[in-house]
Amino acid sequence: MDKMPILNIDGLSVSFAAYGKGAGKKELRVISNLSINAHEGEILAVAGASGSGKSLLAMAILGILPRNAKAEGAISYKGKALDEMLLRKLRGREIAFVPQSVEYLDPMMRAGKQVSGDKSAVEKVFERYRLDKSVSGMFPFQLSGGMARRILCATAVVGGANLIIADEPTPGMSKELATRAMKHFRDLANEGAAVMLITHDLSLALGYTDRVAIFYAGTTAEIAFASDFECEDKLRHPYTKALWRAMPENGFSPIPGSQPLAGKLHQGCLFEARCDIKTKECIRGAIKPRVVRGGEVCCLYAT
Amino acid sequence: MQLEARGIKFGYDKSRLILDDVLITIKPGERVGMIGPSGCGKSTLALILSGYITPQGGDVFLGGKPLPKKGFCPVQLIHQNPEKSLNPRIKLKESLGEAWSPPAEFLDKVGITAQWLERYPRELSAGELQRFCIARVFAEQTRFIIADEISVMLDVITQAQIWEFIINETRQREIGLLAITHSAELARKICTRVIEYGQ
Repeated sequence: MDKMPILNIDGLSVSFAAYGKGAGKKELRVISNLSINAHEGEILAVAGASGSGKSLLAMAILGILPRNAKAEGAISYKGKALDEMLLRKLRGREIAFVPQSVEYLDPMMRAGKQVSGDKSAVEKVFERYRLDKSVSGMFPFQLSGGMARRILCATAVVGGANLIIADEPTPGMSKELATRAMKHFRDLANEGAAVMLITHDLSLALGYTDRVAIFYAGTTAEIAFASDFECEDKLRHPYTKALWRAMPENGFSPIPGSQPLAGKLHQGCLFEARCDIKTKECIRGAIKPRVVRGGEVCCLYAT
Repeated sequence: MQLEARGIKFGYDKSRLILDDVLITIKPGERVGMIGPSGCGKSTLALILSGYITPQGGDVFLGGKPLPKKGFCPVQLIHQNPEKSLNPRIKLKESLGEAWSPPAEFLDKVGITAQWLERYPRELSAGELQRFCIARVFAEQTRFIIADEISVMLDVITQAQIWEFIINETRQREIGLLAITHSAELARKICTRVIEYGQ
């Protein structure tokens, strides 16, 4: 991991301007002080609580945050600061995006047209995703959920990008298709791309990813190796362990509660309210990430 | 009272039927899982069973009678995307009120915090919104629930919490359930019977 990462994020915070009663304006912080990187040839999975800021991270990288959101911190691509100018040059070419919602497809444009690229490349990618030739002439409303997903993936991977950011690319796909999509991401990584894969389907993703970043309430709780998910003991953060126990194949038993709301965040550990190994120290101040068994964890008591 | 669909035919394109002579029966209190390839018509069947679209052939019967055309439909559908199934311009309290007024203990069980009621859909995450969509379909008159991939957008903890609630509630009230999913592991965990839906 000595090589320069393709994507490097250092101390990213994202906040929304929210209007309260009357003229009162406040800042709602949804991502706080997040640092993460993705290397050449690597698939980095980003998993964690729904609403923990995973999609916003993707939008922040691509510079497509909603207008009332503000990002702070440094994002760099191959060592160069990823600003608006550079993004404009790279977006859709070297940096590709698979958006989360199928509503990103243009409803007035035939599916085949939305996958831009030369003809043979488009045909190849259609074949790869098992999309029938007739699908190319259909409009988005004629596609099933799974087909629309595959079109979205196809638009991103057709051009030979160096950095692919995929926001939940597989829901709605059958197991077989989802596996094919994962294999394709793996091939692209093996050919030298860096892939950031935002997903909830850990059972599917683990077989293809290198590292997994676990998000909770807008920050990383842990960065683990995919192989750490073989058993609960290899994981470091209490939240990651709770996730592991809730997977259908590992017991399916949830812990109660939900993550704290944005705007109600305190300085210390944000998982504290649901944790059974917490102490008074946990809410005293910011908890810095530390290296434990090669992975990174934000917990005072992780071993 | 069982939910029964016989000889269902449907095609978006006249030349190609995606549902051709489909037969399915769900008994009260039963939890049926349905797994099948993408684009095979699972979501279309869900829309037909819950009365949103009329099949081009065949019938849906609830307790031997066709689904009511007016008023509350005892077969309720939960969609895959909660952000698309809630009115963005009204508070969640009002969205919930369209179906019924659940008691406080019920909201507690489904995991809805009182403060969320005063918020608009865009202020909550998918997992939080899905709890409202689930709370809505559990109105008193509901006899059957069709769940179309309702937990794919959720983290595994929220997924397990939501299913734990649905299983307990449907068991207690003898509500029948059809769960459409792509995950065989999930179907095995939550269902009493699993259908592999082929082309």
